[in-house]
Amino acid sequence: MINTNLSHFDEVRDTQMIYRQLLDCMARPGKINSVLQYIQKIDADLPCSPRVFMMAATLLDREVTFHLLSQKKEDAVRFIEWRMRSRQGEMNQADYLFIDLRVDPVEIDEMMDVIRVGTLQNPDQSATLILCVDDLSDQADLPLALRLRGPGIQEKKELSIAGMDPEWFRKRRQINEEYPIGCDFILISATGKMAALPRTTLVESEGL
Amino acid sequence: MDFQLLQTYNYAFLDEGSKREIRRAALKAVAIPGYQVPFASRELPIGRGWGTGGLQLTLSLIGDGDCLKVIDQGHDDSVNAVSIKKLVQTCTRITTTTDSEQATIIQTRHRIPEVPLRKDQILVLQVPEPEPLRRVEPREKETKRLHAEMDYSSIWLRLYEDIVRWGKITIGPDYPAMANHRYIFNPSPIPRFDLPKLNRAAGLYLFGAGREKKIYAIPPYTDVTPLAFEDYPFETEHFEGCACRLCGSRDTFLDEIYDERTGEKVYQCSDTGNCRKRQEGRHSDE
Repeated sequence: MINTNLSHFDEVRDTQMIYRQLLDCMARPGKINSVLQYIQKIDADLPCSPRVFMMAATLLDREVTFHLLSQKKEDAVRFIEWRMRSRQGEMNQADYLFIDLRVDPVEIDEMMDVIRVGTLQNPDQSATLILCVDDLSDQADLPLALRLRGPGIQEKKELSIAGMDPEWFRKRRQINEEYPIGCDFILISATGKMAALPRTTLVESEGL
Repeated sequence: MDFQLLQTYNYAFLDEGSKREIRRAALKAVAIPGYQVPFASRELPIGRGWGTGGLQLTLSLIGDGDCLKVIDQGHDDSVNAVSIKKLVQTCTRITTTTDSEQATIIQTRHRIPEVPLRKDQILVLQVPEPEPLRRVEPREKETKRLHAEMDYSSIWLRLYEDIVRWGKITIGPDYPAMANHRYIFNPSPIPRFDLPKLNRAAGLYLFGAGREKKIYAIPPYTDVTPLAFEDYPFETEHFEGCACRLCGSRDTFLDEIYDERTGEKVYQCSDTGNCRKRQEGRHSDE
């Protein structure tokens, strides 16, 4: 059995708080909410990173599948499967994809070409990507600066990201072209800054 | 053996698996405004059709620090609203209020409070019939296809036939509207008076249909356009020359009430929480 100490993380109350922050992020694309206090409750030496554990605890159970890309992948997958009773699925079938690893543009293309995007009748049967990034800011001061428009945003919203390949957004635009088909992004930094980009959000950016 | 149970049911009544499923559906609903996300509606201690969709959303949202308001047709004190409020309070120990400005979550049936929703507030609406196309097409499989293909000609025809036959559109409450220029949705049986409040609002609106097992959402700052024709524009209910008999308001949604002894017609605010605040404000002015 995997030895874990998660006595500080309350899977009822803490996941509720995380969900509310996540729902607010999803309703207001580009808005950064902090979930640092919940990440700090999670052991740093778990087989998966604390932020992956936190999101997995909030979203996963036996009714959905996930796919994880990370260091020590096998241990981490086994740990999440054991802990959440969820199953790892192939990339093209997973409901939730956790990307806790730097992926090169070729791999991004391959991945984004196969993930679930739903159908016109059931656009909800699509993948949600949880992407671990280095940092997020609501000003244009980080390498990948985006300007966002769409539902949930009053006029325009600035979001800049460190540690994320622009290829993600190029492919995202391609996938989300035929709305309501598409995929949703959740971005989260190691310091607990969280932001979301549902498929309705239009991204304008200099570099893209 | 004598057992003392510490807790007889989970926090917020539903088990964690149920809450997670509702949460996942709500997140998808927010990502696709107006699209009805199916979910496995749970059994609750109230009957389906009595607000179970709204209640499940509320239970999946609520946590320490929240303040809940529940209204039924605008009233804080109707039996259903009080029962729902008591149930949530018993299994969470959150605080409740009748003041819509103090609440963080407002569960409602058939009204949107008069005071506009703030950024930090979530309005949960109970929905009897989530499918706007059910008026013209009884088969679920078919309405899903019509939404997928954005084939809304049948509902437009229904509105046109109304005008031909009656000279105006006869749908009163639950007036269909377009969300984010893509999906036609039912705003639940709120009066037309409340429908413009959904358009580019500051707060988040979640809709739960327990019997029909659907969740949908209108995120903040989302375009909501009531269906109407250029020459037959959308109209809200109006109350010219009427005022609330309690607070004197002339700009709120009024209920028409008959005095049971004299048979006289009087008007009264439908939003009782707001009406009470106005009355108190008026007394302190005097």
